[in-house]
Amino acid sequence: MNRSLIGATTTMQSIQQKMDVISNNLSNLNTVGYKRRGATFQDVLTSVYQQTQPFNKEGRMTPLGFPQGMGAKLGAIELSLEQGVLQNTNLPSDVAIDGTGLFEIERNALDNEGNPQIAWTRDGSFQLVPDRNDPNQLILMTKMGDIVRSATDEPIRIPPNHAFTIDERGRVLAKDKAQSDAQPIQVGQLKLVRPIRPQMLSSIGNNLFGLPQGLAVDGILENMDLAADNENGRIAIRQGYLEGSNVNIAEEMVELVNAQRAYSLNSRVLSSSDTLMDLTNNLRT
Amino acid sequence: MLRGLYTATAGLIANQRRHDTVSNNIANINTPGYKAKTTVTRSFPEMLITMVGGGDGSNDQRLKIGRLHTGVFAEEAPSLFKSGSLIETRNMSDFAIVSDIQVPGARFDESGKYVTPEGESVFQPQAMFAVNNENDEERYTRNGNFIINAAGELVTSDGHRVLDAQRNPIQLDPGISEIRVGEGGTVYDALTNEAVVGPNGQPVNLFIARIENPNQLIREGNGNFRLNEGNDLPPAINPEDNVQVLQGFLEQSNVDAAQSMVELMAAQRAYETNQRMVQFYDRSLEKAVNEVGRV
Repeated sequence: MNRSLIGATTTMQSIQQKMDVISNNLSNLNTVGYKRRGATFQDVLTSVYQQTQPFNKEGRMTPLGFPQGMGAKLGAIELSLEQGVLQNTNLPSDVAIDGTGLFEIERNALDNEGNPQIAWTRDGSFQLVPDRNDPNQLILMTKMGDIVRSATDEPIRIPPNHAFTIDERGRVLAKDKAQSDAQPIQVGQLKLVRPIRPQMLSSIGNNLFGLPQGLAVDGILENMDLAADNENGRIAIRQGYLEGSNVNIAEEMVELVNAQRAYSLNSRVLSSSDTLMDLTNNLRT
Repeated sequence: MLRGLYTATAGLIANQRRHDTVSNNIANINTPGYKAKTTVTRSFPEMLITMVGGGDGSNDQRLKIGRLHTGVFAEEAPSLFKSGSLIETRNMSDFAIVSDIQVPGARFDESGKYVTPEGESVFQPQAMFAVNNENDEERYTRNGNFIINAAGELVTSDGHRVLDAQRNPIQLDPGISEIRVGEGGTVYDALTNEAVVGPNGQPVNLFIARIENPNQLIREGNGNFRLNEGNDLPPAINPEDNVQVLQGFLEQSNVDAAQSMVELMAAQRAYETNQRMVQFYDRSLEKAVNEVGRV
């Protein structure tokens, strides 16, 4: 059996997967609230050519057996929740999270039990959409048309003819546009969750995080007390800003070059083991 | 049959093993914590060749021609435990060990070996993370690419649980989401800056095992090593051992691309040479069969 041939093939497949992860990061360089992923390798199962006791000669350094690896495979793909750069947009419906937390949104779809699907996102490019039942009221929604949840799991409704502001603690305040001296009224509180076990989150597309099937929310995500966490400086909500992705183009390019070089090294190994087989094949010319 | 035909065949197989070993190193050039392997070859046992006939035919009258080895085999594949370079990942569950354990009276070379004036080899002890596999057997690894799973356990990417100083798997309370690990290996809650306590109320420390002779470690794949049964469980490192645990870093593979390519070419050419030898013997046989004795 030609182990170098098989090992090199396995490895080239894994490197290809790593390049897919890198290129996904690069293509989301400008996606609002995108969190990069990193992939690392592991060596594949080692098998051992068994050796009997007579092999245990003087001067031998290692225990009996001749270990042989079979290349490398992709280990964990890890999510990095590092903060992205905040960009000023001056739009009142753009909200960025400064700190660790996720917005909770209610999707326009039902799960298996008939409850609305819940997902989480860092993408705070929201919009105001008229309520279907009461067109005068505006609801805070994501660009995909999913409802942004308040701390009471309700949609956040802005009364007609009101301007709204969101303070650092995530309180949504609305003020009557007609009366300049009107006091702002609180119409809702943005709901944020803190990922306790962020590596358990799965990407479900559209810049949303979900939970893999069979995993309960408890212990993975925790409702945040924004007032307290804002007080001790852990988190702040910034209205009029959007969070850029945390992809660093230089880092990704270095990773890409690295992966590509490793790929070509392995293709050299592949052709070298092909040469070995060719030599064997031509033993009798 | 010509004896050398089998000698050359043994050379083919041994060089194939060398080729396999170095290609596996190249495959793992980006695997964190990977330790390169080298191939040690050994010649077949020596034989004494005597002439057939001659003298009076008794054993002690035989004419000795000389000594002969009839082949070579790949004997062992020791790992090179030299430290790989560190890269920063800024991931809180990534760890790297920087270790340079010294033994009194020994000056280790780059490969971690010292030969005493008496000719005895001393190997540099290595520091390693200890993990429990699914059967609760201890394994050792330098790949500190851990994650925190849903149960709050610190695990390797193949699910092996990382051990604390009491040799219990580390498990974080549901309230702890971010951890900080000091250079001594003590685990803190990064948000409150309080030391994380284990089930018995003692602070949790990452267990770093001191492997006295790393050559005794047996490779299992996935970056894991084990010690053969009959070996004592390795102790923890001593405070004066010059070992650091760095959080947010990963130790890169210690495979050198240039050296590996040279080794690969060397193995390939040595294989080719042995192949030629087989061909030459084949031609000799051809002559013997088809031409010698032709009238």
